[in-house]
Amino acid sequence: MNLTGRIGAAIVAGLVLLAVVGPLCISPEQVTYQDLERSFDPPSWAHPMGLDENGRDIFARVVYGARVSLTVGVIVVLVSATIGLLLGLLSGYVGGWLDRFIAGFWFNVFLAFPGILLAIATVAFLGASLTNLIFALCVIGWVGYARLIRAQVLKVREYDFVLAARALGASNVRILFRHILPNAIQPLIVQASLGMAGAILAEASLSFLGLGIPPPTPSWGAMLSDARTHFASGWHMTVFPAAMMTLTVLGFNLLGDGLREWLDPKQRPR
Amino acid sequence: MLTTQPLLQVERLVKHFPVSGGVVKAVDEVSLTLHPGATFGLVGESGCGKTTVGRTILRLIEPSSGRIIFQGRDLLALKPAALRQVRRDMQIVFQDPYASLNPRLRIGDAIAEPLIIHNIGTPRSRRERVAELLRIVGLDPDYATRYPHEFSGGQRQRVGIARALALEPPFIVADEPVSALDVSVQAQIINLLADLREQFRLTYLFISHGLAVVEHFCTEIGVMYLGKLVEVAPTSQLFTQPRHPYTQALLESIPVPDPTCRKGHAPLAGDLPSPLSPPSGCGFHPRCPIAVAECRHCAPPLRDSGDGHQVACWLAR
Repeated sequence: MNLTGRIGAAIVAGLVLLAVVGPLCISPEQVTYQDLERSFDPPSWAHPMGLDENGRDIFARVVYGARVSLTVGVIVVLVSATIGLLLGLLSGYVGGWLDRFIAGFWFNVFLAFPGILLAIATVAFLGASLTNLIFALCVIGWVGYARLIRAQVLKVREYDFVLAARALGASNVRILFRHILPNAIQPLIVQASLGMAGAILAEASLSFLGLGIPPPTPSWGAMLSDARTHFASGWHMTVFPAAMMTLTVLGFNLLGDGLREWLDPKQRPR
Repeated sequence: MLTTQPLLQVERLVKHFPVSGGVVKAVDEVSLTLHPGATFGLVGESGCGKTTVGRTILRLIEPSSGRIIFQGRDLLALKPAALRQVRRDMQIVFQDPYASLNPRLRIGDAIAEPLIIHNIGTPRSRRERVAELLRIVGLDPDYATRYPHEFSGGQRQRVGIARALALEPPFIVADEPVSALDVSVQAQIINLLADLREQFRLTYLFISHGLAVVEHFCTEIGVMYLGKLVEVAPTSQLFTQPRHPYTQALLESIPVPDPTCRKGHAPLAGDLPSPLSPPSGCGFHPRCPIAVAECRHCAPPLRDSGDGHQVACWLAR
């Protein structure tokens, strides 16, 4: 993989490590412990990212927030990519009225609707919780994957090796999953990596608006929302969660770009 | 050749493609008969419908009408499951060796694919069979673990042939199998196909856009123009006594090594007419050097002159 791709992979790896190992070193009590006398304390050796308005340790909350962000990202991407993959395969391969219904109708309905607005409406309707948040993001997330896979299938199905498989007597399922899918899935892997960044941002946006994970579970978006009113007295409340989010999104985007190049056989040295 | 029951009989095969602005008659009432062991060369310019004929016979494209009798069975009456079984007995080799192999499958897996699909053998026996097939087509059995992009065009074409042979089909459609290859490699592949014909008693439908390639390989040749067969004859007869002006023009277009031997006829003028609006009467009349008024109004049928030589021309003697 190229250098930027490797940097992205390193950032993502570091983040995963933080989300997995961090909570083993920091107890949940430390996340919610309030030292109100020391509210807004700036970063120090004891509290590397300082304390927030309730005297809670921001570093501990950022670490636990990484867990929430990654969980949301991974589940949303897995679920929406799977749904998108199946619908895209079906739409592109079967064609005809099914394609007109899925791609011509459903894709456009979902694309025409502002995604984040739909997510807000979904969460507002169902109530704020981790599950509902993930559900809302999947509802808007699958279309991109489906469209991508459909376009890939339309391209790959015209190759002679697909016709050869049919001439050999292969079933549709075999043609689809052994011959078309492996040749169609690469961009999806790239898209999934970029989608992680998108899902994490979307989670933060919803949490910022108060539609994310309810307190006291720490989320970067909710932390930023809290920090908004205290920017003058506690700059570190804004800077550290925002920096983590930026780093995370950057990491996944770099990884996605690196994967795009790395997975293209024509650009890979053999 | 003994007159046995034909392996393949195609009767009045028609394939129309609806397009915006009309209908393309890609294949227009094509009939042909292949006896076991024969190699039928189907020749014509790009776009004349020869590839569509080959693919329609294998039912990779559904014909608009006609009958295809293969080994005594009407292919068009077969249900999908039965058709998949018949596919064991008829295979295809494609023109483009770069597009006809799945880039994500090792070639050993590509060749084993038909065996897996039809549930033949164990993984071990399939590996042995793949090695045998690679040897048959002149490749090192150790290549089985390599990917298609590691091979040259000629080698890939050999892999494609091995894949087609895996089920030991009696009939193979070779769809311009050498036209994408270097001239030096073309001869090797043709020789391989000829060897395999002897070894496995294969019957070929050999599709080609030029007559030069088919002369020494085919037993019988059909010349197509605008979706129709215009002349069908045993190879030697077609080359010595071509009766259709189009066939004559094609023969004259074959490059001759000795410039003093050039026959002096003008090359065929003009392009293949648009299949969307074919000419009235005989489809060839706008380019025909000997066309008469009748040719413009009335399409000549393909008539047998009694010696197995069929031609569709009002003026053919």
